[in-house]
Amino acid sequence: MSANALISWRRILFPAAVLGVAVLPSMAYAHTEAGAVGGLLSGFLHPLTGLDHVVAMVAVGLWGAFLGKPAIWLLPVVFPVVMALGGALGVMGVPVPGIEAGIALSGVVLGLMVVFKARPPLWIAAVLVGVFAIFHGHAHGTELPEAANPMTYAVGFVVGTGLLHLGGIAFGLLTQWDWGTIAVRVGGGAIALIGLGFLVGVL
Amino acid sequence: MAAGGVVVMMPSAAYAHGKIEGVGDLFNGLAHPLRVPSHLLLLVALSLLLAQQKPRRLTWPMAVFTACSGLAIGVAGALDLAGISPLIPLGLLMGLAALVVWGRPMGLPMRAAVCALVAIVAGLDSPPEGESLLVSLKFGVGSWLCLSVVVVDLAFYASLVQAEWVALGRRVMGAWVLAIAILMLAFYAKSVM
Repeated sequence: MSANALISWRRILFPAAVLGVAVLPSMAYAHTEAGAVGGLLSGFLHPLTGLDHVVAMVAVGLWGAFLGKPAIWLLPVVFPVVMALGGALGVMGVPVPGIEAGIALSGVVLGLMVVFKARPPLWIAAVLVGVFAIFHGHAHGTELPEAANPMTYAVGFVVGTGLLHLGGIAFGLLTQWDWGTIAVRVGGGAIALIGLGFLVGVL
Repeated sequence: MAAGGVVVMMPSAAYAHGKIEGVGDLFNGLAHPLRVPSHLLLLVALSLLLAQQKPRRLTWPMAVFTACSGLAIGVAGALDLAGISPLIPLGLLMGLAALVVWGRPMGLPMRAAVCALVAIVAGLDSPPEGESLLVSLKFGVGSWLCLSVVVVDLAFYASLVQAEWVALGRRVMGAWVLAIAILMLAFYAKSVM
């Protein structure tokens, strides 16, 4: 076989091998939703795999950082508890109207709160975040995978959501610098735009 | 009301704990509290609550917890109990988590009482499983050691730093535990409906 022929075979075989590996179903991940560990992973990944959920969770943390104490820790306390109540409604099959619109609207409203550095009274902020938490929780509760271990799913789900809030707070703490405030407000704008995209059905 | 009482007291087959084959009775006992999410969270919530005070104030509550958990496991084994309804540890878990979120330090009698309550519930729900007295004894000792070591360790290390941000972190974690307990309760309710 000539050198040129060998090179052209390599050009075909290498991408083919890469493509093969990429499209093969992974045996290691084939049963991630089974058993206790599967339930934990499934619950943990659930809030992270929906952009509409992710941006709203991060926005809660960002807004909390803007509002300062005690909102910086109160909002991440209110959200998971009320979200769990919404999740319980979803698990029990209790219908809540306008779930998808509510989730999208949460991104728009919370994003705008960050953009405009809104500082309403603490109870208003808590009620607003709590109302949106019901929608997010209900969606997650309804979408529980049948095969997942419910108990460990609950643990993973709450921890995943909480870590998104902490990520938002960590980003929000940049507001102690001027450039950081601009970055956070731009982030809030991006969140509001993404929420708007979901609201009008573009995303 | 009677039916409600039966549901509350009845151990649920769906939440039966089971044994790991081939690892020995003592290890099975040790692993037992760690394999039941509601038990583990109960221990975490109690540790977060106790950690609101400095380490030197943990001595008596931990002594009460250790004594009561051993006693409860012994009673569960002697009476051959099949565990208790998951509603009891879940309800207690929600109450404990709410106290952690509330964040007010409690006096010694209250802390000791809470420790006794958690120890009794966790102990009664960890009945020694074995076909002979020796096997049950090994299993029971393993469960007792695990319950005690987990609470002593977690509470001690969580109480070492009493800075404001650590206290806030404990309350946020309390909210997570409360949220998990609410979801677990919903899943349990759905499973028995």
